[in-house]
Parts: sequence; structure tokens; C-alpha cells
Amino acid sequence: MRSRSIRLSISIILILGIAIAALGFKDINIDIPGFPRIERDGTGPLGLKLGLDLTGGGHLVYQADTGTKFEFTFADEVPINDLVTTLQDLRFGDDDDELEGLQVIPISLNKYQIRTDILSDDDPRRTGLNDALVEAHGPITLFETSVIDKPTVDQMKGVLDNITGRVNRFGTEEPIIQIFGEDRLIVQLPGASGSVTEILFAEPDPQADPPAPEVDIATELPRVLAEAGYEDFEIDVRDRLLYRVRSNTVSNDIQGRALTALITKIGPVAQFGVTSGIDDAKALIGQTALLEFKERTCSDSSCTTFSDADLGLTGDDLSRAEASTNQVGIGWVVNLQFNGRGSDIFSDLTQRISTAESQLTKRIAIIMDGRTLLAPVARAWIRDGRTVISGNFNREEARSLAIQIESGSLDVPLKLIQESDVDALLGSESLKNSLIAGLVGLGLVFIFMIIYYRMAGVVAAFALVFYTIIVLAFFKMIPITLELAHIGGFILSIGMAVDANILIFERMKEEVRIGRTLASSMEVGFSRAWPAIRDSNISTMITCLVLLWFGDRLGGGLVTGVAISLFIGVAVSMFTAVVVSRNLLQLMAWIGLGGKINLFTPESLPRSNQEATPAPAARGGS
Amino acid sequence: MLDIVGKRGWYFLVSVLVIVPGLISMIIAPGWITGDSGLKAGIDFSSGSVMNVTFRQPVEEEDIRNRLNELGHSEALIQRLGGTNFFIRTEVLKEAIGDQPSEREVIESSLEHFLGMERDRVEFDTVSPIVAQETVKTAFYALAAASVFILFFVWYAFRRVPKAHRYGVSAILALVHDLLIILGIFSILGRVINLEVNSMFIVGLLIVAGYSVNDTIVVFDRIRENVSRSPDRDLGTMVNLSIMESMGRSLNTSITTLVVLLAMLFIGGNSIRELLLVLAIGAVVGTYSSIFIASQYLVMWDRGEIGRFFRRTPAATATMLWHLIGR
Repeated sequence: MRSRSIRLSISIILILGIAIAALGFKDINIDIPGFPRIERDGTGPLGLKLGLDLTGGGHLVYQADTGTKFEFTFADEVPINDLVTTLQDLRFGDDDDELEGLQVIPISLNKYQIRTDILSDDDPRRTGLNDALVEAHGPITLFETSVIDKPTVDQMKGVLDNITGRVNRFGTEEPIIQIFGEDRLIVQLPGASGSVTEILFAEPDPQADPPAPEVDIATELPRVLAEAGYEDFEIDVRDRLLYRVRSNTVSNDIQGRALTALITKIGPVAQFGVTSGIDDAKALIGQTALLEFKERTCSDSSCTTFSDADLGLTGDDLSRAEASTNQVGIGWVVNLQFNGRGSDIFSDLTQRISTAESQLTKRIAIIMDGRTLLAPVARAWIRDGRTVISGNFNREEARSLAIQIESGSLDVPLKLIQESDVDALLGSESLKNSLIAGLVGLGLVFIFMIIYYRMAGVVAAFALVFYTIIVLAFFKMIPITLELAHIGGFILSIGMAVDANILIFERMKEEVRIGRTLASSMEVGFSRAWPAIRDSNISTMITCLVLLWFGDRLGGGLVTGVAISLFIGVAVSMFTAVVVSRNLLQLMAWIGLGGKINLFTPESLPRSNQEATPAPAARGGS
Repeated sequence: MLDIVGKRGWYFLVSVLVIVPGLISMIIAPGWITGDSGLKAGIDFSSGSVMNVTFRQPVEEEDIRNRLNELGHSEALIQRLGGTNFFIRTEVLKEAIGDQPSEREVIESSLEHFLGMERDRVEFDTVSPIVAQETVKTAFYALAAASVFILFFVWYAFRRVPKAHRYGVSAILALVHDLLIILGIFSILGRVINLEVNSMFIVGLLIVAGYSVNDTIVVFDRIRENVSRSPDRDLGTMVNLSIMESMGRSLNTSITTLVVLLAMLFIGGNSIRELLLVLAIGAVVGTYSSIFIASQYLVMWDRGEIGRFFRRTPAATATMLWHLIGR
């Protein structure tokens, strides 16, 4: 008995130690080869991740990217710069209209996609473009036009659901996603915000004539950045020419303005890079994620020019997409599984092009949103409908890609039109008040327990502190994005944790009353209270698991959040009451407090009980 | 010893008196008969208006909140988007009626006049609900499914005592009782003082559901223990004994839970008032229903009182008729 108890005490202290360490080190980064990497760096206290209502985050506004799309293939190669110049100079019709909202997306050296604002069917810009391009760059072999219209209400609803699904699958973050007006979408994400801009100035050229003016970068830089629109920034000087600027989230506009201003007012810039806290999220959300598989015929073995044949095979023909490490275990890949129809088409394709002579010219093109992700040669006939997208992915990129593929493509392409930081939904004042109130409440519970149960109350108080630390450690390590709702669930689970202790102490008191010694009362009290603690908590955990299952399936982030935090709370409370409280009480009995029953219960007892008698063997529970 | 079981009819009467007005409030228009929820949906569940505003001088969130409170928009969610740029969500703002200016107009001129908002840089539009209706439905389906699982779990956990399924059914009955009381209270408050329910309300309901069953099982455990110790004695006596024995624990647990909740309710900020209110009602009602509803229902079932009660009602007559026709 005694050695078991000592072993238990040691494990309890170990668990407590691990939990304190998990909370104590604000940023945790453990990377053991062969195991998933553990990285926890929440912005909240103790490194906890806080939700939008408790902390700020990123605020993104997307707009349906409507417009007219042209796709064309020239007979010869056309350099992109030439094409852009041509397009910018083109004027159409009587009013000399230019192409508005122009975007040029190169697909290969002779194949391009361009986008403009919506053009009606008989607009001269739409009817005349083919001829104008032929005139400038020679014959065109393929010319396709399509229009992306203003989205309908249902389409926007579909986009909302899709993006909500993507974010929910990516993690337990609770975003706010709302349709804004007719064709825009607001996305707010907790935690992630702020940008880091890295600027490397070029070494001034000593031979320059006239010599570059001496500029004091350290004084000039803040002024230039502020003018460009940087807010709340701090500059970290890495060396004479390298600067790292932490700031609010800066939009592309501000970045462009800043770069121009730096070059004109300070001097040549060798490198200018911006990473943002919401880069991952942007990559996940904004992509249309239209995945297509095409049969590519190359003109030569290095495949500089090619043509793609449509097979009618898209992301809709996949049944599963998941990220995993590659066979070597270093890089990350996305595994794809086609459904029945997809498998058949893919099987035909690989059978057809895996022959030795086909391998020279034929490839499988995997294209996402018009960009080729991968164009491998088929070396074997693949009949089971499985394939892999490999590339230079890290874990986040692979996961993000897999989620996008699995949740399907957006009905409407989106473009990011606004990006900024956003404050918490609840003022910091109200959060502080709630925290203080929670602590006051907890203090009152301690006082009540100690007055009512004396030493046992002290044990319960200790167990509650233990409970709180362990639960917070779980919240951090899982990790759970804490919202006020979780804190509510946590408070009620404190109630349940106290309940387990109260159940045990009440049973102990009953046993003391019928004349047992303290030590045996403890044992019997525990075993009597155990079925009630076990069954009641199992029922709550069942509720949580059902909620979790539903929440997961039907995309209710709210439901999932409550279920997880309550489940953790109940599971840990069971552990603390039965293992921690019990062990502490036993320790107290051994260090000689066992004889002083008055320390444990305020009730007056028959005289004979108050002397320690040898403990009779504990009776088992019901 | 107090005879709690003897007065069981009264507890049901009390519960009925609390539940029925709430139910009526849930059902009458706008309520279930018009296809609504019977609750006053807050900003989380309904479409709203959004304003993106910029001020000429530094402004605190609190200043804007005070202005909006004065104009009757205490539901507004205000977030700073950096600098003097703010993002404000409100309920759908009313259009101009007759001489009355539109609410948008009133808010904009107030913010311009008192806080120096830049009138020509306001971006205004409608937004969809923050929490989709589906989420709420999900929560209720999940609760229904969880009830079924709990029914079977309790049946299994009490398999050593006679007629174990009755414990499961009674626990679920107490759960439904608790949820109906909370829904009813909020429905009535919605009509009387315009209390709106937001996502926090759903969170609260889910937590209370977990707590309610938890508490019921603790009381049932005592009955289980006493019944298995003396299986020949009358169930009513055993239930009464068990309730008295576990009364200390029941009171202490709900008192400690309430202490924390009330402390937060009175000291804490506005932000989670709704959640705390649901939890506090839930803690009281959950304890009450374990002793006075779930346990008493067991006794009534044991003595065949439920059958007798229903035989006297038209519903029971209808059931009997149905059986006759069926044959």
C-alpha cells in the first residue's frame, strides 16, 4: 500500500512538473525526427491561444473576382513583357477603350490567361482582342473566352460554407466568416496578425558618379515607413544594411508604396520581403482550388512548350486527399484517392501514356487554379486510383493543399481587397473583470470547503489548483483556441471537480460517524463514492463525445469547442479527485494527522473514535 | 426524517407551473407556430449591418460604445481595425420612415458630431449571421442523440437493480425538464425585457445538459446502493432515504458552483452575463430536478401512478381508442 502510494505521489509530481513546464515556457518548439513537430506559441498569457473575443487577429475582406477570362495559345513563344506592353497599349472601338482590371497569368512560354473586368458579348474589347493579338504576335492556335459573373446569393452561401469548412479542418480556430453585402466576404481569424518586413539595402556603389548622398538609414527609415502607412512598428537593426520591421499587418498597397519610397529616399534595396501572421490563412482561404488533371503533350523531352488535353478529370473526382510525410520521411506530400469514375479515367490515362515511347512526350499535368503544380511522367499503369502530389512542401503547405482539394473548389474566385489587424470583440476591461471575478469565486469556494471540511478542504483546494494547471496545460498543448465559452465550460467543470471531492468527503464523514478510524473511513469513503463519480462523469463524457462527433461532421465549431473543453475538464477532475485528493489524504493520515479527527470534520463525535485504532481492512465498494 | 417522497405531486405541480408559461411563450407567435425559434435571436444569429468608419482624431472603443448605447444599440460589436479605423456590427438598421431619419443617418451624424467621424469615408453594408442556423440545429440534434446514448448507458450502469431502464428514462426526463425551464425563461424574458440569445446561450445549454445528467446520476447512485443493499423494501422509502443521505452533498455542490457563477455574474464584465445566467439557472434547476423530478418519477413509475394519471386524461383515452382500432 505504502509503496504504491509513494509511486503514485512521484507520478503526480511528475505530471504536475510536466504541466507546469508546458505552461511555464511560453513558446514551445520540440522537433524530434520521426515524431510530429510540436510548436506552441500562442499570443495569450502562458502561451495559450486566445479566440477572437479575447484577443485580436487578422481581418480580411474578399471580393468575388468577377471578370472576363481569355485563354490563348500562340503558335510561337511570346515573352510575357512584350505581351503585357501590347495589352496595355491596345485601344478598342470608337471611344478608345482600354482593357480595365488587366491581369496576365503565364501558363507556358506560348500560353497565357488574361483577366479583365466584365465585358459584354458585343464589347469591341471582347470581339477584337483575338485579331489585335494576332496582329502583334502572330497566329493563335486556340482562343477561349469565358465570363465570371456576379455571384448569386446561393453561390456566395456555397463559398461561405466551403471556406468555413477549410478553416475548421485546418485547426480548432474559431473564425468569424460573414457574407458582406452582395459579393464580399469578411473573414476574421484570431491570433494571427502583424507583419514582419525584412529590408536589405544594397551596398552603395563606390564608383557611382555622382557619389550617392550619405543617408542615415536609422533616422530616415522610420519616417519613410510611417509615410507609407506602417503603424505601431518597431525596427530591429540586424546590421548596417539589414533591418527587420515588426508592424501591423500591411496590405500590398502599403508594401508597394514603402518599397518605392525606400528606393527614392534612401537608396537601392537588394531585398524586400514581407511575411505576415495571416499568410497561412490567406493561402488557405483565398485559393479557388480548382484542381484539374490533363494529358500534356510536349514538343520535346524537356517540355518547354506543350499542349494540354482536357480529360474531364477534376478535384470533384477525388474521394480523399490527405497530407503525409513522403517515403523518406523528410518532405511532405499530398496523397490523392480517386473515386470510381476518377480511377477509371486515371487508369486509362496511365495505361495509355506509360509506354516507353509515350514517356518521351506525354505527361500528366496536375493543375491548380491554372497553375501547374506538377507534371510527372507516368512510369506505370496505375489501376487503384491512387496518386501523390509531391513538391517542395512543408507540413503546413501540404495540409493546406490537402484541405483545399478535399473541400472542393470555390464556385466563385475571390480576391483579397482589404487586410488589416483587428481588436478583440470584447474589451480588455471586460476580460480582466471576468478573470478577477473568477478568482474571487474560486477563493470563496476554497474558504467554504476549508470551513466545512477542515483539512480535507485544504486537500480539495490543493487538488483544484492541480486541476486548473493540468487543464490549462491540455488547452495549450492540444491546442485549443480559448474563447469565453471555453472559460464558461471550465468554470462549470470546476464545479464538477469540487463535486467529486465533496462526494468523497461526505462519504468519509458518514463512515467516521458510524465509528471507523480516519484512515479506514478514507478508504471506505473513496470506494463508496467511486461508482457515483465514475458513472456521472462517464455520462457527461458521453454527452461530450456525441457533441464532438456531431460538431465535427456538421461543421459546428461552437459545439466542438464546448465539447472539447468540458470533456477535458471532466476527465481531469475525475483524475484529480480520485488520484490526487486520495493520495494527499493518505499522506496526511501517515504523517500523524490521522488521529486528529477533529481536523477533518467539525462535527462532535463519540469519544471512542477519536483515538487512533489500527485500521481494519478496507471494505470494497458496492 | 423529512418525507420528501410523500409530497411528490407538489413538485410536479411547481415544475408544470414554471414550464407551461415558458412553453406558451415559445409556441405563440412569433414562435414555433410561425416557424420561429420562440427566442429572440441576437446579433450572432441574425443578419445585421456593418459600418467601417474612420475618425479624424484618436477615439477609444468605449466612446463609440457609449454613443451607440445611447442610440439603443447596446448589441453592437465594435472592433478597432488599427489606427482610427473601426468596424461596427449592429442589428439590421431601420430605414427612414416618414419624417424620421434612417437609423444609419442617426448613428452617422452622432458619431460625426461627437467623435469626429469622417462622413465621406463610411463603408456601409449588410452582413450574414455570424453563427449559421445550422450550428444551432446541430446542437439540438446532438443533444437528442446524446440523450439516447445516456439512456442506454444509465440502463447498463444500473443493470444490477430491478427495472434499470427506468433510471435512464427518468434521467432524460430530468434533462428535458431542465432545458425546457431555461428555454422558457429566456423566451419570456425575450418578450418582456427584450433579452436576446446569442451563441453563448447555446454554449450554456450544452454545458447545463452535461451537468444535469451528471447530478442526477449522483443521486441515483445512492438509490442504487440502498436498493441493492435491501432489495425487499419499498422503493419510495429507499428513495427518500437516499435523498436525505445525499442532501448534504447536493446542497454543497450547488452552493459552491453557484458561488463561482454569482461572483462572476456580479463582479465580472457584461461580456459573459448571458452564459453565466444560463449556467446559474442550470445549476439550481439541475439540482432540483435530480431530487424532486427524476427520483420522484422513479417512485411514481414504481407505484403505477403515471399510468393512472394518464388514464384520466383525453390523451390516454385516445391511446386506448387507438389500441382498440388497431385490433
